[in-house]
Amino acid sequence: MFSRAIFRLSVRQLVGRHRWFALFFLIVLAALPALIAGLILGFAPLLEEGSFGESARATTSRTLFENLMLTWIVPALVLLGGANVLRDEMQNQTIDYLYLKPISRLGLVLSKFTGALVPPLGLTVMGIAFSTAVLGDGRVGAFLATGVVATLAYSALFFALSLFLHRTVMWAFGYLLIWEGFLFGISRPASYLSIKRYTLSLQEALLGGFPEPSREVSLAVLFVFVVLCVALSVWRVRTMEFPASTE
Amino acid sequence: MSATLSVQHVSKWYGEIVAVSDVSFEIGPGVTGLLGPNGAGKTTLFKMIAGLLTPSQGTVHVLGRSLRENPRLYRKLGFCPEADNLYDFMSGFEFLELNAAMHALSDPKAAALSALERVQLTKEKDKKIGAYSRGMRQRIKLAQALVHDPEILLLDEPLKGADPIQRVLLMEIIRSLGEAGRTVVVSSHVLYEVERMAREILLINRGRLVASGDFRAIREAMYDRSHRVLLAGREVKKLAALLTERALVTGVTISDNELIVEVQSPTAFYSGLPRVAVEAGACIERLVGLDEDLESVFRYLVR
Repeated sequence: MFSRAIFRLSVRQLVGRHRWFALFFLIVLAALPALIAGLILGFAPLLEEGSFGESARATTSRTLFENLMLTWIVPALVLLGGANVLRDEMQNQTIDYLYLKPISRLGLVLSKFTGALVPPLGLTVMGIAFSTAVLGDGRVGAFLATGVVATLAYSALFFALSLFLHRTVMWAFGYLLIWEGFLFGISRPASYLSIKRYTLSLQEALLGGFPEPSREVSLAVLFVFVVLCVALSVWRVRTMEFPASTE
Repeated sequence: MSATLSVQHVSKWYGEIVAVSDVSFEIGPGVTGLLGPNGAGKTTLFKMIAGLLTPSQGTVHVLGRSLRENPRLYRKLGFCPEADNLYDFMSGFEFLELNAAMHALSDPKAAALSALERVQLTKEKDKKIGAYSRGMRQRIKLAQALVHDPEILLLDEPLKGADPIQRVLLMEIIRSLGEAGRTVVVSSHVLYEVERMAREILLINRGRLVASGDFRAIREAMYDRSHRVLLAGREVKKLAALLTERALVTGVTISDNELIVEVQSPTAFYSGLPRVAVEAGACIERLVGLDEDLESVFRYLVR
């Protein structure tokens, strides 16, 4: 069912040498929290009296993770790093070479989807590891687990979205800005219809807090959400048409 | 002939635009040419056969089943698309190995090398596809369709962009596939190429199947139009007079030692000609059917 050949192709399409400039940009993006953390550490002694203590570091680390990494950088890495990998095949008309193979549509989607996960997942892990290392935060495990789950959820959403809509990047940023950015803050019901609500709850639980919804509910919702997105993608690929562009 | 491909009452429309209209045919082993001018609906038909499009109406069966519902059947199908889009960042060898691996072949490397050899791209196997010439790109596209040795091949304009030497090579490969018992459907709007590869043709124009079968038989069947035959030799003027008298020809053009005659019934003409030539004391040195090439068939049918 799963095609390793398609998986390898996807990874190569996303991280091959021909994409060096995009990759460089994504690496800088992933490292942004670490860079900011470094700057804060560098300037903090000049701005405040006394040293930048453990408590301040922990607060900074969490703020950077929640408000920058989880809210903007992870979705951006997913969106720019791999979510369009199947849509690009359709636009380039190379999809013929994948579609006309004895591979089930579920296999095709899973192989492409997992391939699309590799670059953002790698970059997310790298970004979280760097920023927590710079700030000396020992809660790296909780941040990494949350980051991985968030990457998976956003990947599933944007991957499915790319199969239904042109200009996926525009729609996805619209969702991030309007739904998760604006409505999330002013409407509690709306926040429950966002990925961010459940990833933040999961992080809260992993850090020993008392999240709402609970860790189990958050994980279950995110799991069902990913499965639904993959199922929707499979249905879309199964029923999709590839018309002749020239005739 | 056992049909490997069956297309029954197939139509495809996009809103009010009809791309293919009520097309039916069955194809067995051998090379069949799909002919038609640009925009005739050839690629749409190919895509419906390959399962890339669903017919708005009608059914397409490959080896008795629908490809779209049975992806495993793609093991038996090779498709060479018209579009020139490839993975330019890969080498030719990598591209073929990828295709062989997607077909789950036991030795993708060996299959890739064999396909490269077949299209004579072994020397260029490590070169990036992005640096390939147009003709080489056509050959690598054909190679990916052949890499798993399929029973059925759909080749959409495989000669497009190839230089004359490469065309000869590609035509030879396609002809040999037909001789080896593969079902090959090859499309082109260049008639002489199809004529050199296939005897059976499907002629499509404006989405409709205009004619199908042996192109010479189609030509024969067009009784409402006369054939032109060139006769060269000695005493041809007498021959012209006798042919007209016996009503074997409907028109004659004479120039020096050549006659161009208009023939309504080729069978009667060719069977009566030797006797008439003897009677006229004519010596025929050359006899050429001017309208028996595919170009003429095509011109007549789409007019």
